[in-house]
Amino acid sequence: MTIVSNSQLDPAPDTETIDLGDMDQIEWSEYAFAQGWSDGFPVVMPTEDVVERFIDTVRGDNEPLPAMSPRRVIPTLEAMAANAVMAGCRAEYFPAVLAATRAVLTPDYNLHGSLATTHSCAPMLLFNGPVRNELGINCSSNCFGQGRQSNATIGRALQLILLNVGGAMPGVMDRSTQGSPAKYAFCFGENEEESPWEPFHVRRGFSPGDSVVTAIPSEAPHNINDHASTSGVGILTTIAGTISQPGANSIYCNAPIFLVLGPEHAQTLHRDGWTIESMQEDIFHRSRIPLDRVSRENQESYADMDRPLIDGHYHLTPGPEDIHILVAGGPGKHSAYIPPFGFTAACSVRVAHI
Amino acid sequence: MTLQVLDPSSEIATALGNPAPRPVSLQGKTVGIISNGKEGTVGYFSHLGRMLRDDLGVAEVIMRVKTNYSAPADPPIVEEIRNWDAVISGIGD
Repeated sequence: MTIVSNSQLDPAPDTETIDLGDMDQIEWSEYAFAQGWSDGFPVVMPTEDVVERFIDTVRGDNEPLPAMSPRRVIPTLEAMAANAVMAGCRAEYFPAVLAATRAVLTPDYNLHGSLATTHSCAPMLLFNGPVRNELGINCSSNCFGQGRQSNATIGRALQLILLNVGGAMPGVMDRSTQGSPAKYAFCFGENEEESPWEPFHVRRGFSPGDSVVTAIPSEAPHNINDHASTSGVGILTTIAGTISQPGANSIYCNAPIFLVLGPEHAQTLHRDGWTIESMQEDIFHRSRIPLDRVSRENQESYADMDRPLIDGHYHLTPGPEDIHILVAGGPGKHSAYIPPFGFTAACSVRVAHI
Repeated sequence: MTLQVLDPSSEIATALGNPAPRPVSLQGKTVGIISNGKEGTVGYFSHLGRMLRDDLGVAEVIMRVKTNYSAPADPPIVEEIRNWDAVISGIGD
């Protein structure tokens, strides 16, 4: 086995393939690390035949892609598929990866700001509809965590695309002060089967049979533990108190937030007659932050930004409807708060079934 | 046998073209400064503007502030750039 030097491996400027010589998987990963193409984990070789199989899954999806920030280049399908291969995806995941890429390229998502910011945000990917079961996306126990190929590699594939095509190199164009573990992969599905309410994508105007991915740049999930409350109002008291944080971007950015209820909390709330709308209204009012919990300097800064101060409080979202509520997870008395980057929106895109 | 892999960083085209050539001198030139609008930019860019005029002979320094510090510059500011000889963009967290 010979290790080919980087200079020998550098592709010509206008070619898209690289000759690896007789490099093996470990040498390839080291080469990818040296090129800055990895998130720190080994990456799979994106050989031409495998990339071609991925591209075959999206033939017919010809909608052009806009330029990708921060490098402002138009991605090729080949490069996106190569990154999905490198991330460890199966070929059948690629339509979901492409839809997720389209979601973060929606102008309201503010991809440039979310990648170049000092904030710790990562692209959260939420899947709804049949694609969850078709691809085995975890919507239940440990849905934000490790252990499922689709969650791990679809989320990772998007991050590698943003790194290698978009150019969001940590410390260079990705200026996050501390980053977040969510930057490796942040992908889950709604537990529609155990939700007492309509699925999230249906409430956004899609059909129940549509497969949809929703993306928003956000922090990693913050756990909300409530084992003692046996009433819906008790659980909402804990949720409102947990998310009422002066240090989250929500306090000064007009952005939606996500509340992901565990199925047990959801059942208690539903039993007590809470609807999505009544929960949004209750949490909107009870999570507002009183002035005395905000530093004088921040108060001045928010005043300069014309941030509304209502009855001596800052609200976390522009309105109750910007509190997005859905159900995910397995057994247990836990829910999660997902604070946003800010200056952004939750962008939903249908996953094409070719 | 040799393995061929695809370059994961290739793209169709750059959307914004190539950067303009650097000016040889700033003497008599117009320089735009685009601030992200955060507090730290106020004193720094004011001082930088004075240095450009007093020390480097810049004819005019134009200050612009983005309306949203977490998004790209507003289209009217981007449109103005074509009238400048050089532009400095920065943040002041």
